[in-house]
Amino acid sequence: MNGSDDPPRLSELSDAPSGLTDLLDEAKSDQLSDDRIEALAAFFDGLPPGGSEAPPPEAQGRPPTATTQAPTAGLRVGVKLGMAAFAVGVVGIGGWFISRRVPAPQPSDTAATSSALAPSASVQAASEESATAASTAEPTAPIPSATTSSTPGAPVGSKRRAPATTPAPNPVEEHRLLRSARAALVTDPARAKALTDEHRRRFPRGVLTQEREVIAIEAVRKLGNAKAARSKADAFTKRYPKSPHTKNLEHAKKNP
Amino acid sequence: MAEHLWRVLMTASAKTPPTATRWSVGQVVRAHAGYVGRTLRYLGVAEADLDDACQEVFLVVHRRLSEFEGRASITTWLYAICLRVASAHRRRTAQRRESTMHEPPDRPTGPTQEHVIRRQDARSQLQKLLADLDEDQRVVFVLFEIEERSMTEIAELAGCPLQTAYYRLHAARKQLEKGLRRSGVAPSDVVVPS
Repeated sequence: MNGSDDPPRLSELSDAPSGLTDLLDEAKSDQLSDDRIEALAAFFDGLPPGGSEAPPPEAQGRPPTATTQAPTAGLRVGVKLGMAAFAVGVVGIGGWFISRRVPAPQPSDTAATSSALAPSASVQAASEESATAASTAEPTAPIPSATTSSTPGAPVGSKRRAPATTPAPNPVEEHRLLRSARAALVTDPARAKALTDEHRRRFPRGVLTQEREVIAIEAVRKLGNAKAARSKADAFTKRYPKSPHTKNLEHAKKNP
Repeated sequence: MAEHLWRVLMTASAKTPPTATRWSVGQVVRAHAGYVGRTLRYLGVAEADLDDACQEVFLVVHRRLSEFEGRASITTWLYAICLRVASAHRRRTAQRRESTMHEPPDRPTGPTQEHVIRRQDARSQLQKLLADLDEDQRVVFVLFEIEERSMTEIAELAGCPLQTAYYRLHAARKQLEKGLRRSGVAPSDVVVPS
């Protein structure tokens, strides 16, 4: 890597200060540890392929494909959504009239309704982590079953709610949001807390749930509510006993 | 300097190398994260921020890898990203009112970790010395003496004429020798573990 006209490096000079050359030799062998590199690589292995530009603010939180579609594609989606909303309205009004005419629903209808409104087991399991992590904060909205939209005879309401509560994973945007939250911890803990709340709302099943909770705990502590912070920390350590954050939280609890 | 680095980044992505575009970001991380971390560290990113800074570097890679077409080597491209990220981190750190620590204080350290501690001590001494340099000198010194890049490449990354890069290297060496004398670090004090 040495250019032909380059001066000799300090390590090649016999009269260089040996203290400095020793420090430089040490620095050259300095590398990130293998586990840190592997953790970083694993994070990026899990990311969807990157785009050429960051998504505009209004598109943040949406699936990456939404930002790369042509404007006409957006128009098509809008028209489809409009038609769907119209259909939902018509069916809803029809259903209302029918329910007025037949006040007592059949048992089979009731079962269908309750099963359609209940989250499926797989979705429940997937959402359990984020729901438990957020146990000390505001309750998480029920997540409709992925099967409800395809269930014949399912209530209209479940169809309407499905797209709004199943955002596609977007770790890059999650990271951005939490980075802002972490930066705000120093100067404006209230904003940091608000950003973690926003993260919880936008990414209820995000990949950075633990990071969000740690920031939220720190924000609550800095806002002066040590008791709530401790209780959130307890909930966190109980939920994620093997988390790398747990050790730091335990330390912080002992040294508030 | 930031604008210049951005131009270097863009220039680096103007011609197609057959290999880089086929890499996944995970592969780039595994191949290059070692020296990316080292470069960021000696460019002044605090230890507590090092993981975040590394992640920022590779997020840029993640966003732009499909566009990287290799007029420069991928290492040059990564160095340019590192310089930008390190510069931003230093600015943010200067604005902070509290200092961050990589590890919480009072964390017990076993006697078997002496080797690690001495290594950390040597690293921290060099970081303190480098912190006294101005940013331009520091970039040239770190890339030349630690990363062993050529002066031509460094001048291109730093956006300065070659002669200016030589001058900055010379000035940085003088300043570091002075700092070394001032800190009273005798050569025998710097015992670097093998």
